[in-house]
Amino acid sequence: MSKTPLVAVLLIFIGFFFFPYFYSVASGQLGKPVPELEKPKGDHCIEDAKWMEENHMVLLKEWRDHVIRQGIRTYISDTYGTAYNISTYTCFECHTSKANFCDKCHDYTGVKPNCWDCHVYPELLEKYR
Amino acid sequence: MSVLGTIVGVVIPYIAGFIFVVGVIYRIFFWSRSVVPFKIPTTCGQQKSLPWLRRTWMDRFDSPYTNWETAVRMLMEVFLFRSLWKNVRYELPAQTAVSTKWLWLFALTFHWSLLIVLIRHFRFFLEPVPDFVNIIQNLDGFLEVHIGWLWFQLHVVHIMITGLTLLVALLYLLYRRLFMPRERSLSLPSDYVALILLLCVVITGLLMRYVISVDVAQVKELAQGLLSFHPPASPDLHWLFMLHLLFVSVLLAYFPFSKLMHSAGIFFSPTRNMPNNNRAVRHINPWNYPVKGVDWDEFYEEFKEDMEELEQMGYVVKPEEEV
Repeated sequence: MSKTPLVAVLLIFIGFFFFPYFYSVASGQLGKPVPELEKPKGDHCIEDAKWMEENHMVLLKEWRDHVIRQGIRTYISDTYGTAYNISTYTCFECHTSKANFCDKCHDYTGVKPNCWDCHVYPELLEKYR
Repeated sequence: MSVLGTIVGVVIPYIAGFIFVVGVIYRIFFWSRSVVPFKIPTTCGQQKSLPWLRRTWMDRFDSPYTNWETAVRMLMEVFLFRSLWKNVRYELPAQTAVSTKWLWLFALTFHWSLLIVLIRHFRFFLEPVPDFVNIIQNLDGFLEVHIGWLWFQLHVVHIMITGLTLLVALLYLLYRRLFMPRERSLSLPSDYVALILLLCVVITGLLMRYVISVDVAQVKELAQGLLSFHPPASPDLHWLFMLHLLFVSVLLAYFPFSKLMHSAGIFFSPTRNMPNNNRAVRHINPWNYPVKGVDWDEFYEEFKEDMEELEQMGYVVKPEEEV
């Protein structure tokens, strides 16, 4: 058989499956661990921190629906039993920076939440206060 | 979880990756050495012939004559599944061939979805996440939905279309093998294994995306660790992700031995990768053994007496000398 198919398949195979390795080596960030986040101010988060890592978007969506669709403004924490005012400002009390907290993980994993299409974030608040 | 985490998260992926890469490369080289005794392109159009024989532009790619036409034909085969497009079913009462495009539709949906899903997975392997992955992710997730009941809250706002089409197409491909009589009768266990493995991967992936959320930052850390050959000692990740990873590892290890190798095999199909130029270019069969020829003078010397006898009987034996 002519060697053209072999060359084509090898190029596609190596190009596709080894691309991540070459890319990461070229960018010099191969094996980058989870970025260090800015330590939030308070003692504990609204729910258990580990749960929040995986499910903060569920909570935020729930909050959105509670406020916008049902008009509920208070949230009772499942873990701690304390009441919280449902607002992004409640988050900002401890998480004072979007760039040093939210964006780090979101950029790392390529997640593009649409929160900031409408909502104000701490840096913007600081700028226009 | 620690020992299990090391085995499922580090040891098995490495073994599977090794089997995958070595196995695929071995089979590619094995196939590239195979003998092609005859030029056997299957064609669906008028071949290049006498100048007054009408040949449409599509004929050029259905019955390619040059190498670049063959390349275009291969590309159409790989990206559009043209040979499946021509799939027909013979209808008995009407005694006609009816074109059936369902297989083409779902096969194409499945393969394109899989490609896009694989490219989306680059976000775990590439650091920083490049723009093309983000763009594909944005386009794929342009549907913004609200699904939320008391017991079930979708934790994302964007539905990734290809993930769902992947599942639907796979379910159809399985349905077709299970419930259509002819397809069922010619299905082998290896057909089902590939489909079911893919389904397991897809279902665990979709569960992670839509139902049970997993800390993706840790997932990326593990992926980066594996990629840099400095894996974490005992990755402690969500069980669902571990299951997903296990299924992917099994699929990778199974890949070189399975029918999934058709992804490489299509390029080595002599019925597809050869131009239909039999009349113009001679195809040498590599199996031809060397023939020691005898030229006319040697032949004449050997049978001189018989030849002279024939010549005396009035037959022309020697060719006329060229002037």
